[in-house]
Amino acid sequence: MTDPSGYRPPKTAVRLLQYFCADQWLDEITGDLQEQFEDNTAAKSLFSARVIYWWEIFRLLRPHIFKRNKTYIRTMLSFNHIKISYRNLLKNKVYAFINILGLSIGIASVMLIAIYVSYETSYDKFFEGSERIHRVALERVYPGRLKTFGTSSIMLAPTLNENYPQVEKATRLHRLFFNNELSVTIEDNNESFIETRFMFADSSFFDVFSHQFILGNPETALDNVNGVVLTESTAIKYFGTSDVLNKTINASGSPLQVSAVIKDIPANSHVHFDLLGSTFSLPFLNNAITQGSWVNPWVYTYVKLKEGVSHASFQKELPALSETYGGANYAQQAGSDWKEKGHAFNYFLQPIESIHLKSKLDVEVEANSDISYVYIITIIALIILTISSINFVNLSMARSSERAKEVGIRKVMGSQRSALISQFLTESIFICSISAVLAIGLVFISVPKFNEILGTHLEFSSVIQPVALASIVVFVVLIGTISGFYPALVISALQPSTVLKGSYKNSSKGVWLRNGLIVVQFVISIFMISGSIIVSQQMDYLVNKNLGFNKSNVLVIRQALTTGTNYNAFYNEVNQMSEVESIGKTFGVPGDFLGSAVFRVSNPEIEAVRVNTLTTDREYLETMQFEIVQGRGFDANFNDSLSVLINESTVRAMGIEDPIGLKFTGTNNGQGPNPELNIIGVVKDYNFFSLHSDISPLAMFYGGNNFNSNVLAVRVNSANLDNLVSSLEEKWGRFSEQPFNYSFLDSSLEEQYAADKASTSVFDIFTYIAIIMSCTGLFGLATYIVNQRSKEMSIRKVLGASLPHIISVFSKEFLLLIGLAFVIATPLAYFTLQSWLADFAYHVSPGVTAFALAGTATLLLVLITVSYQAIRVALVNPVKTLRSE
Amino acid sequence: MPEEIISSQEEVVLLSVGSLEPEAYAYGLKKEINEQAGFSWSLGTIHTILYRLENKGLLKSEMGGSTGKRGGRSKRLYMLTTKGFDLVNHTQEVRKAMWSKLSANKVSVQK
Repeated sequence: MTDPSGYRPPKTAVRLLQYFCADQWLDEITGDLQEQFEDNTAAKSLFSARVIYWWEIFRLLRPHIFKRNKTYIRTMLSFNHIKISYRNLLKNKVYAFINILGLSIGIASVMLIAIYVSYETSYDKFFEGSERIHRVALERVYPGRLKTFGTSSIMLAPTLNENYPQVEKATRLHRLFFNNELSVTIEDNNESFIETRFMFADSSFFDVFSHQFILGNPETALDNVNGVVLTESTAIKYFGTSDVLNKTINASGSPLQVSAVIKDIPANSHVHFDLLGSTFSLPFLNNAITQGSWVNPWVYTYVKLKEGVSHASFQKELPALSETYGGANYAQQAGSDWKEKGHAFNYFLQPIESIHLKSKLDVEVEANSDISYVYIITIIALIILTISSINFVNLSMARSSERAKEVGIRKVMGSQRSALISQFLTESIFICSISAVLAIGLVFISVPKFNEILGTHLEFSSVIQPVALASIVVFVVLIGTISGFYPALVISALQPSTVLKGSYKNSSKGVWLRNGLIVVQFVISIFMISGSIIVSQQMDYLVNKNLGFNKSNVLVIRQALTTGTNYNAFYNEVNQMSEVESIGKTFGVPGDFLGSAVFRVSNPEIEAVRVNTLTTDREYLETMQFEIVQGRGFDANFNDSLSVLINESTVRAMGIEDPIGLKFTGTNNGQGPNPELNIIGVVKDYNFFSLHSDISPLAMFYGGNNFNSNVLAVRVNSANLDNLVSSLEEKWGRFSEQPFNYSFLDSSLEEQYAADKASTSVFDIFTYIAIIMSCTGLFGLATYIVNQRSKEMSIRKVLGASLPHIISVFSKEFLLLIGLAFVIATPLAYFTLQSWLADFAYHVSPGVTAFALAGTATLLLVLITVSYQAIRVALVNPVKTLRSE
Repeated sequence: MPEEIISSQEEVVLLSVGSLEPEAYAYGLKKEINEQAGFSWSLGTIHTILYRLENKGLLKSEMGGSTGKRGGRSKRLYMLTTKGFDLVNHTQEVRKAMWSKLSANKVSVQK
C-alpha cells in the first residue's frame, strides 16, 4: 500500500470499512477509494482528500455491501424485535400502562431536575469574566461572638483599587437595608412608586459587571452624583417607553437624572436592582467615606481580578490589608487594644458564581438558594427513577413465564442466546423511548407549575436543544439497558426442552433479587411518607407557634412619614376609627431588619452586650400584646424618655437575675452623647426574626412625645377587613401623595417561610408520585404472583381453605418484606430529618407517631393491593384453574 | 419492447459503462459521470446502482488486474450484457424519436 506522494488515507476510516464491508467487495472498493484519494491529494489538499475519504465511507454504508454475519442479521432483525415489542405491549395493556407511565414519570423527573440544576448553577455566569469576579465578605469577630457579613467596609474598594495591582477593578454596591424602601415620583405625570430594589454603586460598577446597555455609556453612567441607571422595565413602568435618557425622577425628594437604561437583569443573578444610583448620593455613606470608616460593613465590595491572578493567592493578601489600612480606624473605634479584646476583621473572597448556592451570610443582597436544595431534589429525582426502574425489572421478570414459550420456540428455530438478549434489550429500550417522548410532554406541562412553586425561571425550551436531546437519547439507551439487562439475561437462559414441556417455574435464584428490589421500594415509601409527615408537622409548628405576641389582626402601615406635616392628623383619624383598637409607632415590626449596638451596664462585673435595637412607644407594646415578665412596660404615668425595656435573652446574656434599675449606656462609635438609660422592665422573649434563628438580645427604647415613625402597627377588630382597608386607604389618600403601603402581620410573617414551604411542597409532590408508583409496581407484581400460585390456591380451596386464609397466605410473604423495610427506613429517615430540622432554631422533634403512621400506611396499601388480587383468585371456581392440566 | 424499466440514474451508469468498456470500474465511472453529466455521485451511490443493474442482468462483471496507483488493489470491470446493450439502445431510439417529434412541434408552435 505505498503511494508515490507518501500520504495515506485516514486509518480509522479504513478500519471502519474493513469492519463492515463484505470480503467480496473489500478489495475493489479499497482500490477505488485509494485511487480517488490520490487524485484528490494531488488536485486539492491532503485535508480535503481525507474529508472526502470519510464522506465516501459513510456513503458506502449500504446493506448490500455489509458483511453477512450475525451482527448484520441482528441489525436487520431489530425491526422485527420492535414489532414484537409493540405487539407485546398491546397484548397486555395493564403492564404496558404501568411500565410506560412509571418510566415516563421517572424520566420526566430527571429531565426536570436536570433543567433545574443547570439553571441553579448558571447564576452570574453571564457576566464577562465572571470567574474573575469575587465578593469580598467580612468575618467580624466580636469578643466572644462571630458574625459573617456579605457586606464590607466602604473603604475597602478604594484601597483595593489604589494599592493592589492584581485588581483589575473593585467596586461598591449599597442596598437599602436601613429602611427597606424609597418612594420615587415621576414629575412628568406626577405618579409615585414605592421601590424596594433601589441600589447604589460606584461609577466603576459597570467595569466589573458587564450589564447590557440600551442607552447611555457604561463608562460614565454613574459619574454624576445625581445620575441614575434604570432597567428597561422600570423605565417603561415610569414613562411608558425605554427612551428616557436625561429625564428626571424624584427619589425621596431629591431629583435624579436618568443617565442610562440597561436591559433587565437576568433572573439567574444574585443581584437585582430596578434603579441604580450613585454611592455618593447618600449622605451617610459620604460621611463614612470622609471619616474613613473601616468598622461599619455598609456596602458590598466586588472585585474583578486581573487574568492569571488566582483566587487563593489574592486571598492571602487580605489579612494584611485589613490591618494595614483599617488598623488605625479599628483602634479609634474599639480602643488601641482591640486585638487583645478579641476583635477581628477578617476579609475573605467569595467567587460570585458560587454566591447563589453556597453563600449564607448575614445581609445578603437577596435571599440565596441553598446547594442542599439542589442535592435533595436531585436525590428525590433519582429515587423516583429508581422506583420506576425497579418496577420495570420486577414486571419484566414477572412476565417471563409468559414469554418463556416464545423464547423456547425462538431457540428451537436456531436463535442464539445473544440474539435473545439483544431482543429483550431492544424491547426495553423501545419502551424507554416511548416513555421518553411522553416524559418530554410531562416536562412541558410541569415546568410552569414547578416555576410557580419554587419561584424559579426554568424554560421548557432548554429540553429541546440539540445537546439536551442527544443526552436524552443516551440516557434512554442507558436506562433501557440497565433495567432490561437482568430480565434479558434470565429469560434468555431458559432451556427450550423444559419450557416447551410446559413445566416452567421461575427459578428461586431470581427471587432474592426481586425481594431485594421490593424491600428497596418499601424503604423508599416509608422514608418518604414519614418524611412528609414530619415536614408538614414542622411547617404547622412554624405557622402556629406562639411567637410571644399576638400576630393576628395586626395591620402594618409603612411609609407613614410621607404624610409629612399631616402625620399627626392621619394618626389621630385612624386612632379614632371604631374598628381600630390601638395604633403603635415603631421602627419595625417582627420580621423587619433591626440594627444593633453595644451597650454597657452600670454594674462593672457585667460585660457589655450587643443588642438589637428598636425604638417604639407604649401603644406599640399594647398593640402587639407583649408580655412584661419583670418590672413594667412604658407607662403614661412615668416620664419614660430615658427608659429602656430589654428582653429575657438580654438578661441571660448579662448573666444576672434582676436587671431592673440598672443603667444602660450606648458605646456607639463614640459620636455624640450616650445618655444613661434606666432598665425599667423585661419583656418576654418574642421572635422578632424568623424561627430559623434563635431569639437574640433586644432593647426597646421609648420614642418620646414627638416621636414619629415610618411604620405604624394597627390592631383592628373588624370582621370586614376589605372595608376597613379601603376606608384606611381613603384617609391616607387625603394626607399623603404616596401609594398606601400596608400588609397584615400574620401573612407577612408566613412569607418568611416561603422558601421552606416551596421546598416542602416539592417534597410532598414527589412523595405522592413515589408512593403511587410503588403501589402500581406492587399491584403488577401481586397480579403475577397470584397468577403463578392460582393452582395451589384452587387446591387449597378444594381442600377447604377459607377466603381469609388464602389472603393471609399471600400477604405473609409481603409482611416480612415490609418489616425488614421498616427496620431499614426508620433510622435512615430519623437521621435525615434530624439534620433538616437542625436548620431551624425552633423545631418539632421527629416522633414515634410519624414513623408508626408511615409503617401502617405502607402496610395498609400493600394489604389492599395484595388482597384485591388474592380475592380475585380465591373467588374463581377451582374447576377453571385446575381443568387445564 | 424490453421488460425492464430503469431509472435515469441507472441509465446514466449503463451509458457510461458502455462508453468506458473494457475499462469500466466504479471510480472510473464516477469520473466519467462527473465529466459528462456533471453529477458528483458518491462511490456508494454508483456501487449500489451497479449492484442493482448486475442483479437485473443488464451488466456483468469480472475482477481485473491491479495497477500501482490503487495500492495494489484490483478493479472490478463491468461490461454491458446483450440485454443491457439492447435496453440502452432501445431507450435512446425511443428518446431520439420522441425528441425529433418534440422539436418539430416546438418550432411550429413558436412560429
